[in-house]
Amino acid sequence: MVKIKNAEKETASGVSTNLKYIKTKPWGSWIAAAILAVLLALLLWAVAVNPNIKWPKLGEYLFDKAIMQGFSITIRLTILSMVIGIVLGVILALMKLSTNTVLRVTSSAYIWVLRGTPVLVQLIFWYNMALIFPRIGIGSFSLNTNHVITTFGAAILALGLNEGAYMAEIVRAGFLSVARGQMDAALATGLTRRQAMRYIIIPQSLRVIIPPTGNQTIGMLKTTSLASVIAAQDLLTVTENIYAKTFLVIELLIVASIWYLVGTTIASIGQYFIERKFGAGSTTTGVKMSDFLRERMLSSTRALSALSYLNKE
Amino acid sequence: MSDKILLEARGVEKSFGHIKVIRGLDLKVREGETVCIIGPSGGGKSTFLRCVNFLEKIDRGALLFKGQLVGYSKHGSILRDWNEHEAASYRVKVGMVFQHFNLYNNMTAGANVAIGPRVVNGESQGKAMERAKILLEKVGLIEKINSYPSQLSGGQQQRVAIARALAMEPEIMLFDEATSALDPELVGEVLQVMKDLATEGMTMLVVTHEIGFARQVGDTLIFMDQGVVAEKGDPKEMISNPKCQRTKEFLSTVL
Ligand SMILES: Nc1ncnc2c1ncn2[C@@H]1O[C@H](COP(=O)(O)OP(=O)(O)OP(=O)(O)O)[C@@H](O)[C@H]1O
Ligand SMILES: [Mg+2]
Repeated sequence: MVKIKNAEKETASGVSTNLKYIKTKPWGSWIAAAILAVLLALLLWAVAVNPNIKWPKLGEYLFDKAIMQGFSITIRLTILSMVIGIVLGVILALMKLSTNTVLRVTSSAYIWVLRGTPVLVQLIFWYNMALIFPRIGIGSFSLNTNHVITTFGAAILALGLNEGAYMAEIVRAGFLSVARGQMDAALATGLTRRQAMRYIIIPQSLRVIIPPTGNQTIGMLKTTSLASVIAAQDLLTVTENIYAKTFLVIELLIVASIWYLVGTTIASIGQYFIERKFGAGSTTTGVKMSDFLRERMLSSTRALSALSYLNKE
Repeated sequence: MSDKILLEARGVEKSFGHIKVIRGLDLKVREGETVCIIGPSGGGKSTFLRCVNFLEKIDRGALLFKGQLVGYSKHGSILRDWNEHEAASYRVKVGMVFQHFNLYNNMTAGANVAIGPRVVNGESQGKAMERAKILLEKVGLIEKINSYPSQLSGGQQQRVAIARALAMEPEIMLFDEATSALDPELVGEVLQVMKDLATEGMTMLVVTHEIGFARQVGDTLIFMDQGVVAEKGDPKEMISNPKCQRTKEFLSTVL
């Protein structure tokens, strides 16, 4: 990358004495950036002046009461489903790692079925639970299934139980990432397996478990939109309801997208701080801007230093 | 050293799948005695120590600790497998030091030592930390009490691991090649701690490649090969004048 000028004078030892450092210009990056900027501007222009998109309507509906309620339902769906998913995931992971064959097989079967069928299908299943079990209860005490499993309840059950299968694999991978010697040492000290899990294995596995759990949460925020097929009154449901009446399809979809983006952005920021707290390092966070700038500045200093030492003999 | 036998192995056998790793091992460790085990790699030394600590179950034979069967409890005329808690309370009496230290990575040196007394014996955080301080002082690492394992050298980690095992006030200490993962210049500090322990009268079962340590500190030397005790005797005598051909060959490769 480094171009060297006036390198013709070379000493007997093969070391050049008359070198000048010239930083390589990243022409490729500059051209690519220019092309992308033009394309982006054209796209924005095409959308902004499009007579089919009524921009003022967008502003009107952005903070609409129904939209806000839908967003709040989406957030609640996300949080509750993730809580169910995480608790279930821990239980399933412990079952799968247990020495008890029945527990192991049960856990594997659960994961197999719930990961192997579409979550949309599971959602509709739970919604229609009353078709299989019109009433649920024990003995003479029973309730109408449709009263117990509301649309919101069906959505939470479907999303949470499905998430449990994915979280189980994440948690299991976390437990397995802790070196076997840690458990040996804990047992040798006189801790029971349960105590070893609690004080040694689980704390150490968190750094592996937390990053993908953050990703799952962000994914869940978007997956809740599937609940609109059972009219769970989430963000997408209310969006669809409004555009069914007003025909402002694109405008309302943009409104919904903005709120989904707000949600995922906040979740990402939360994830960043939680990961930092637990010293996680399993996801690649990309190049930091400060590192990039420092690298650009240092390259000259580095080359100059190399030159000065070269000339020192 | 008393005549009381603390640990005894009678005809112990252990296999992994089809591979028989220990094939009829007999051994006695008296109270206060330091027994050193040497032998070629793969001879089953680590496996035997893990069996003694009940981290592995033996397939045949019997292990006796203070005359009681390891792994079983007697209820009148009925013999039952130990449950989790019986196994744990047995392991409290048997300290173990591993080749790769196995310090808890999520805890400081102090917490590593204090966690056992705190969780197993229900000591208060303050009392357990007091104990940790005394033990870290003993292994010469009081200034590292707040360091994490990743901030310690191998030798320091191993000394913390010894302190951690001692915190449970064990009646016997098992050492599995405690120095073989260390750089040569760090071996001495760990051996010194082990030597001090032996002098204080701790009962020790030491798997080691340090022939010098075995000669100087050991009361009994055992040469273990292919899962059996191939030769046993006084360390000095055995090292200078091995009777078994395989002991002779082994010693010539390590001396
Ligand atoms: N958990 C296990 N599963 C299967 N095989 C095992 C297991 N642990 C040990 N072995 C096998 O048992 C044999 C004895 O191993 P062990 O670690 O006890 O030997 P060692 O005498 O301690 O050797 P070294 O001096 O190399 O530590 C080896 O062949 C090893 O591969
Ligand atoms: Mg070994």
